[in-house]
Amino acid sequence: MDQTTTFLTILAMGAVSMGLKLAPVVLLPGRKLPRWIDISLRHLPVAVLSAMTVQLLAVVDNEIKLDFGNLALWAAIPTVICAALTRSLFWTIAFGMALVVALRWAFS
Amino acid sequence: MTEPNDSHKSWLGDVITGTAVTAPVLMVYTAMGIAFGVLSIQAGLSPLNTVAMSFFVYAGTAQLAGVQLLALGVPPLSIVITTLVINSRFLVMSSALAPLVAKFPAWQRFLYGLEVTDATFALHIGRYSRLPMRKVEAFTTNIVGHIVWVAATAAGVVIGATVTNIDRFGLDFGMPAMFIAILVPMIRSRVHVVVAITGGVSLLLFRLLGLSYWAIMAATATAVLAGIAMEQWTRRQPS
Repeated sequence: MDQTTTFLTILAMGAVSMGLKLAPVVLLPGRKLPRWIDISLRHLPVAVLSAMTVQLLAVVDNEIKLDFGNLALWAAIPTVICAALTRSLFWTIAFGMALVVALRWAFS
Repeated sequence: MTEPNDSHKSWLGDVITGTAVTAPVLMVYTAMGIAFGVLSIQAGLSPLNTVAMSFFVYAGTAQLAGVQLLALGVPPLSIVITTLVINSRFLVMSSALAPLVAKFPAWQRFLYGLEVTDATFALHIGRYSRLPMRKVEAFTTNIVGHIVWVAATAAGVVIGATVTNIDRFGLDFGMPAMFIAILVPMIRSRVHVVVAITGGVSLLLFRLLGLSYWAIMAATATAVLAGIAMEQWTRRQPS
């Protein structure tokens, strides 16, 4: 594929991406929503964050990997403890990334 | 950590706080942006198209998938549909953010919506469920985040010519670590525990059933239902 077609494809990807991001914040406020949607919205943050976290940790190359070869998955356990203790975004990320580097260094 | 929370805080003060609270996200963006830039160049995209993708698409997973599909010569329509499927989760995130920005005028909600990402979603949901929404602060995190994402991609383009194995730097763990850092403090009740566990376990189950990118939507819906059921059930129990 030449770079011009690639660029046009990127623009179309961007349009789709922006549309999905925009539609709810632009259209939802000010509307009287059914009660069940209101209730669902309350649980949405924890629900989507937990699903995404597990996807990021346990899915490698589109396959579930729960074995010891998936170091990131096992590094997640101390990282969760670190998050619970420090409640700090910075320290949790720094600790997690350092741990993964250390584990990869030790096991490779 | 104490949070300054007086309504008299200046515009500049909000810009500074906004930048400060975004710092951990910027760390993740820098790591992922560089990783994306490297992979994109190595997949054969031009430097300009690589940076353009970070500017226009601004969604890590879809960009990585897009680069691989472009490299394979997959037809553009299929690539756009794949982007739609992968990014469908933004409908959910944006819906959850909608109550936070409900009082903004429509054009500001539009600008805010353009900048929704996994990271800013997690940051804003985590922060503004504890503290009142501050407009300048929120827009600062969005704008700074987008600039750093594009700049890190450009850095990755430069690095991509020289470095090959980037996994050993732990860059790929930035995003999951950030999600853990934001999710864990949000879990404050038994209902939250049930929602979080259901979300994680059902994601694996839907994956095993053969769903790939839709698994996030399906798992989110299941976890929300579990949360509602748990609430109904605890309400009926005499405490």
